[in-house]
Amino acid sequence: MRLSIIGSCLALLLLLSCSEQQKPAPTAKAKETANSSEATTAGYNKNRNAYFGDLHVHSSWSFDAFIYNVRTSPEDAYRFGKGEMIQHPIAGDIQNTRPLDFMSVTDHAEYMGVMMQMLDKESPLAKLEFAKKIKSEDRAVSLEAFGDVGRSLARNEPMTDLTEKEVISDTWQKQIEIANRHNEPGKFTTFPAYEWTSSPTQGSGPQTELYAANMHRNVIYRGDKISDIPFSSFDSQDPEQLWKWMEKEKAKGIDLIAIPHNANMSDGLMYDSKTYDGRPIDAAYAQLRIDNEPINEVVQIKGQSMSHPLLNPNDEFADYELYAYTFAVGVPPASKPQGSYVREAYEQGLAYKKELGVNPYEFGVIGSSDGHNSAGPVQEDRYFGKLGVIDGSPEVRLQAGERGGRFLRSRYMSAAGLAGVWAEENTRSSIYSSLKRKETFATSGPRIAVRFFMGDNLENLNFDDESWIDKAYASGVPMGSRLESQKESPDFVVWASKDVEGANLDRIQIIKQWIDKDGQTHEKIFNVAWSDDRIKDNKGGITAVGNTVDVPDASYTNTIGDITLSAVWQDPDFDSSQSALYLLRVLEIPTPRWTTYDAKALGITIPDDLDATTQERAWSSPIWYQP
Amino acid sequence: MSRLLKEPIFYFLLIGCFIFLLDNLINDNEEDREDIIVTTEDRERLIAQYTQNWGEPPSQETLDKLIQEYIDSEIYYKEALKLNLDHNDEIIKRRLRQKYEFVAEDLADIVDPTTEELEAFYKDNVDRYLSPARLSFHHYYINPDKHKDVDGRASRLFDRLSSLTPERIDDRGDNGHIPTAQTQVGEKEISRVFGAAFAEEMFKQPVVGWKGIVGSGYGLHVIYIDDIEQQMTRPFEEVRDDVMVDWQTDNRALFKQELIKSVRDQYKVIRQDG
Repeated sequence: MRLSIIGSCLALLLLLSCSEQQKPAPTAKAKETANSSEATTAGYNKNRNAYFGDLHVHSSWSFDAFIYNVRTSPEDAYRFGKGEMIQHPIAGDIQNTRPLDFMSVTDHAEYMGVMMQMLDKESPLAKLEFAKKIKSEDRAVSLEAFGDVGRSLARNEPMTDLTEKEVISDTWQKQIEIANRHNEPGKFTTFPAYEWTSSPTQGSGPQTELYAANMHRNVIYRGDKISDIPFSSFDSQDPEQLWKWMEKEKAKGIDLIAIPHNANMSDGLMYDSKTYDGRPIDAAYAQLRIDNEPINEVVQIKGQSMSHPLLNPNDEFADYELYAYTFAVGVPPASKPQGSYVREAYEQGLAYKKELGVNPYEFGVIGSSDGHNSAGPVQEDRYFGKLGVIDGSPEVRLQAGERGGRFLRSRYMSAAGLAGVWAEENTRSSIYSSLKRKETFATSGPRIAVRFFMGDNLENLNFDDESWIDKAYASGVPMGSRLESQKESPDFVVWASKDVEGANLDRIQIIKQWIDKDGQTHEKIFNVAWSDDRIKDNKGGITAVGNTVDVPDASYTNTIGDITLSAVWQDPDFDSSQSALYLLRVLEIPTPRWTTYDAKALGITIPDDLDATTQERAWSSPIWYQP
Repeated sequence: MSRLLKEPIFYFLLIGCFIFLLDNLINDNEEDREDIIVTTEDRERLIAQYTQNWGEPPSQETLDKLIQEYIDSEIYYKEALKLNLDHNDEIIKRRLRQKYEFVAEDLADIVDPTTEELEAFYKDNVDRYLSPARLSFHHYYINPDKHKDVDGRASRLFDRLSSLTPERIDDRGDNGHIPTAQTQVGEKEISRVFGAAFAEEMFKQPVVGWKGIVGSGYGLHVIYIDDIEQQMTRPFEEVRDDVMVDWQTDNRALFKQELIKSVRDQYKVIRQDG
């Protein structure tokens, strides 16, 4: 029959076809070409819409997710992002009732997909001795194998069987293909991506006393042209080497950025005053860093990286979802606060700018999840944990510690954050541009929309007139921008709207940081808009908004707080000769923390070490003032 | 698959096969010393690869090295083949299987469907090309932060507006951040902006005209529905690109499936594994 003839002729075709290297990888052809036209998509808004996404999701193609019994793929992850139902290893079917607008699957580059390949009988990897351990029914054996992987990462010694270029390249091409296939301009934007998992070992002495610091970055591609193979931490654990590699990729026409996360777990390395290899920071380093890292992820399951009560002692809201640990097999040592938080880094950035002429930390902020179930657990009342079987049920999360379990820390993790961007439309080019110009904000999960502008002649802005946004864009600069020299205080336009399905808002604050003529940096927090007609005291303080949470019932009411908050503000201490930055923090009224919903489900009282309520929040990217 | 018989490529392949076999028969007795030929294309490819990896073309010295490496690896390759080192190697087997599949996919893509075929495919799969139901509406917003008696304000606004058509509206309610006029939005989009409960309420037997007061997480909204688009089949011309992608995806899978089925027939499987 005819097909069998074709079969025999494939050999011939192979001879005739051009060499395989020159053949482009299969990609979603027609749909992608269709997008490249200039036409706008439905929902286009020249004044930009707030879109909410998650740029940090892992599937079973990440070695750690696999080890903890996650078996869903990047395909499933995008399906979850769009609102479809997928499987969790112990929580049953999970679904995000509120689809995301944009997303990246960021599987670890190191050993990407190899664990899944070991399950595939067809794969050569399935025959490795190591694969048998991974597949072992005996949990102790598979955990031991996971330990090997973890140690190999901590020591940065790749297991060579598992890092063959062929293996990596196949998986990577599939990742790209899946991301491309799920990208639907106007509806759902995806960016091909991966995580560079640098976890340098800290401490000295026996293995049991070693721990690892978090220097991880997600590498996000705009999507038209993508690296042949990811640069992994096996290539180098030094972020400077990552940026140098990125520069080479950019020279080939590849558009990509790196987004660091969990500085809170970096033990002081993320915003250290030295480079990774111990040199003092210089202008070239600062430039390379800010060129490649315009955005930092500052809130996710493993806590927030904005503030720490030791570093920000005068901030009554600094102590929020702290997760200040390093990585270790046993009980991890605390992560050093100095050098680990964004607010401190922002201050240092002003000093670097003065000293070097370049600010390495002139970056914007987003939140994301870091969910390892091919899904981010954003909703407090539908929390399903971070990592497969470790924290997939209320029992293991809240009660395992009491039974002597190893993962007591699960309960200190936070429900996931989200990335907010202001973009004209929901497309790759529009959202990627927002990230590059830092017109972004971070939320601890709720879809709070935050607008922030600085400029002149905005004092009479009328928020009841729909055209106020036109005026703000025309006379001011939005979050993420730099405002050049002014004679007197510019007008600050602040506006926030609650999550339509969430809690009301308590207040908007402006956090101001500046550097004086002696090179000293300072920080001051101003309440600029607040709910319920509360009266500001003579020190600028506002009384607490109240608390409607019924703890045993894990519920709250929106009888306090406001739906939108807005103000035009001027800085009473403005000094036109001082470099400064301003960012917004928006607080919700108190709501039950995810652990409170869990306690209700279990019918137990909340453990003493946990807060029953939380004040979820959003942070804007700063606006920098540069005289 | 019978349309393949009508494709010129098919005859090209048959002829190619014949030449291939002929060539094998004629060239059976070659002299001992084998040629390793480095063509201009090989050289250009090495330069291109190097340039892609390092961002600059190789120097003459580097290029000489690259070519020498290429020659060496060709020699190793040929020698390894003579020793049958490619046999029973899992990685090579997997790689070859993958290449075979790639070629099969490419082969499937060679055949472009005619418009008639696409239309037939579209008709067979018409449920893939439905447009969701959409509404166009105006909402006049009442912000609970601004009114002591929110319900009272809402019903007064509704009473007043419902005697008017949208063009004659004089009181537009409070300014929110969501434009008053919403055009051709589906349940998903409405849910995204106004919340799921609001979206569900809007799609409960919608009728053109004043709908009444609908609540959302932002407060209350007096609603006028301007237009309703029922769920319907999108015309072929509008979805032609999507149909093409779907056709190709399906065709590739079908082709691979048929191919492996037919190739299987050429093998007699002998099970000696007890």
